[in-house]
Amino acid sequence: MNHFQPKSLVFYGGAIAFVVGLFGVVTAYGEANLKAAQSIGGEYQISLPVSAPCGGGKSVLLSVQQSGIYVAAALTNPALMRSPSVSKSMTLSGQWQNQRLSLTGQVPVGVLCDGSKEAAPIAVKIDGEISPTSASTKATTLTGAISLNAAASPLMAQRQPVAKDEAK
Amino acid sequence: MHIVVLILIELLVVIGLSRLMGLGFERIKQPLVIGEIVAGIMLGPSLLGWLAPTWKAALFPAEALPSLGVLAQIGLIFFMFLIGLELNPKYLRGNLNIAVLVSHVSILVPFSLGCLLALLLYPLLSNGDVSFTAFALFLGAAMSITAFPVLARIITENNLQSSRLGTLALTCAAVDDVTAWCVLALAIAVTRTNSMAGAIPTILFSIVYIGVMVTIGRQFLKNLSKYYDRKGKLPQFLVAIIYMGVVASALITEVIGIHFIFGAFLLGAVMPKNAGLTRELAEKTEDFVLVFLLPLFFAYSGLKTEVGLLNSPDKWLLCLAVVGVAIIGKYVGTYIAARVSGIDKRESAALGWLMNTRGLTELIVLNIGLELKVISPLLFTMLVIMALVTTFMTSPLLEWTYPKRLIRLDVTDTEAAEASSEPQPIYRVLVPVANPKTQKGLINLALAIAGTRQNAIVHPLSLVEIQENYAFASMPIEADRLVEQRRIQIESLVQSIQPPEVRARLRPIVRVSSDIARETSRIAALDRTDLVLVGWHRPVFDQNRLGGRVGQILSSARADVAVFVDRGLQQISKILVPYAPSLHDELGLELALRLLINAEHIQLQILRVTSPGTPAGELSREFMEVLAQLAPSVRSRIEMPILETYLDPLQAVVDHSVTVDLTIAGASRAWGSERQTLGRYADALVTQCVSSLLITRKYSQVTSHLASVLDINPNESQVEQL
Repeated sequence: MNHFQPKSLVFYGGAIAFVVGLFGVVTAYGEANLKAAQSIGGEYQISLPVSAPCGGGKSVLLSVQQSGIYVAAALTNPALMRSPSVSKSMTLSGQWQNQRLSLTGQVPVGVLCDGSKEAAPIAVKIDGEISPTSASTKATTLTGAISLNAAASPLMAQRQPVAKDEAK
Repeated sequence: MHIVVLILIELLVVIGLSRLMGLGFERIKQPLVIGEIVAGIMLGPSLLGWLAPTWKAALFPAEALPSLGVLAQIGLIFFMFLIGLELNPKYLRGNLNIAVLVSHVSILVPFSLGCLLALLLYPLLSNGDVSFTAFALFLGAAMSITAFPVLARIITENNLQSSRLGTLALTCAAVDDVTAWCVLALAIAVTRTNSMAGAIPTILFSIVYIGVMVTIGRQFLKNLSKYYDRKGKLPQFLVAIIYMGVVASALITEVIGIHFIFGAFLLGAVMPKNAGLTRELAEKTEDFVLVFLLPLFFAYSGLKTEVGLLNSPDKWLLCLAVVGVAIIGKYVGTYIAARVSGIDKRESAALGWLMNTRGLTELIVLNIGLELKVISPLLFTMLVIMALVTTFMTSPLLEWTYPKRLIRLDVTDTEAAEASSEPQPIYRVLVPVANPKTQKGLINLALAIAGTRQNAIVHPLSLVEIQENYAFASMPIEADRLVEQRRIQIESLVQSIQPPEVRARLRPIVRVSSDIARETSRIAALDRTDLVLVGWHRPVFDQNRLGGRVGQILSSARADVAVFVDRGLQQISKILVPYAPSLHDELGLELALRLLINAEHIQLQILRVTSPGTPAGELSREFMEVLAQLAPSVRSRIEMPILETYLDPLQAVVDHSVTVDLTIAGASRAWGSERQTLGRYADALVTQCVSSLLITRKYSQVTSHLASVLDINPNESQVEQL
């Protein structure tokens, strides 16, 4: 068969060597010079400010789904999450760059007001820094500001330990 | 709600929707798999979660996902086993030297471009936990995939399996498939250990395991194959052993550190390709896996696909880059390699589009990537879109670059060459033959209409129906076997036709099709058929006698059609044409005259029925002109009685049909055979006519069924026996 002729074998060898070489150069460059965004995905427990609709003091969960610098997030009420009919929709989106996380979007009123059926959603804006607090536990803290319907308040949230099932 | 109840409801929804979407996409000539993938995406956050988030959350709550996932993974294991089982060395038959070159280049180019694309995507779409090497390997692998199972079905569906393009594409895809799985195994090993060096033990163990399977495993399976041959059937005991082998092999590769799918694939690949065993095993396995479990995999995958994540122009641009690199890499690599190998431009282009089919294989790779977190949710969504786009575009682009009429010229057998050396026929009758054992009468009638002295031919058309899904029967080798089987049956039918000299007028066409009526119409148009002669069958699901497949051919054929209702026709001596002025009755008259000219013992009665005192419908001017051209010996055999009766005209025709062998009636309201008329009495003539019946439906006003016989035989017709 022709493909076992020396000429063909040299061609295949050459082509494969070229691709392996290219892969070697690209990965060497990539490993040395390219840096992917630090991993920040997970759940952050946020204590709502007093100025929040339906009052402050309640805790909500900010679930962050990260794809590099692009971030999608959902704000959910842990008290309501037991109900199977409550969805965790990623209604917030934003970016994670230079250690700064910025998220904007809307969340249903029910999340902040314990299941209220009011139609108009609440405009949410989160802007802050995420920094590691413990290298061993990979704990990180989000500090910055949360704005609910344009009323801004300081924000500080700790990333929750990841459950095993969710890690998969 | 109890978790089992919930899973059962999910199963109902998933299987129902995926079948529905599959059928929808088949209607637009797309592979079933695209419909199934889209159904999965529709059930996820991209559509259901977006339109009705509470419904989605109620139907697919987080606690049900693990169970759904387990079922999906079991489906995947057995699907991979089926893919391995279908990978037959016989596919490596077409131009192997070209195929090896094309398939290698068609992997190396997109892989290289994928690695270069990783330089752009890694800082934007990857997380810090993933090494660049693993990311680049995965992206390169994702770009290089060609889905052999989907491609094989597209090739069968387009009847390309015997063409040079088809055999070449199949060989390339088979080589690509094996290579891509190896690259993926390497990518998984590197991802799990996060370095090339760390992956070396896994790679070594994998090579050892492959060696064991190819030697000891294969020998053991050969013994099972011999056992099957002795038994002549596949007992459940043997099925149990093979299934246990699949699961054990999957477990071993998972423990080695690649992925469980490889073990299942490997076992299928090393199975001896004993035709009987492979077919029976595939048929036993595939129904449950393909209908029940695989849609769950699509749904599970769709639940993780979030088109909503692409919510800004820059993300869409990145998505465009992913799709563009995938298409260009595969197309350019294939095209250049094919051109270098001496393939012409058109075939090289068609091969380039065919090799772009990624389909389900890509989805399997992506799910593994997401599961290992080497690709992020956003990149996963972009790559799913890429898989959909590349699979969706294959059929239309193939048709664009290589239309079906040109594919027919490319068939590797010598039929075309033989046909081209003969003078072009001047009259063609296409006869769809559903069951070659029972349709001798239909062929005899077609020959009688065609005549034996002019250059007229009859094409008995036998279409092997395949469903365009993953069924084993739709694999090219199996389709070839079925076509060959049918060809033998048709040949035996041809050999049974008397006298032997008329057999030369019969040119059978045998091929596979997923839509019999549509394919018949297409062939009729391509072959410039003058008449499609269909045997009547009682439709199963239709009250209308001219419903079912016959009805579909009547509706869709762009040629004149005649439907033959055989009531034991042995010889045609007397023909009755009940005439009412209509296009369809004119066709009936033309065919009757053709029969009359072709055989001098036939008598024709043109019956016009009218109420007393009412003038009978005039015969058309064209018919009277034709009549004047006929030889006296032909004219003398025509009677044109006018019957004045208070009876229903239909009843009068039924009464007259007692005295004739064949009644020819137009598909018109007058004879209760109008196809569009629905209802109990619509097909009265079909039910009541005593003689055999031919219902004619005129499509083309241009086609003349008499021109050829009148030109050739203007003076005297000669003796021809039916």
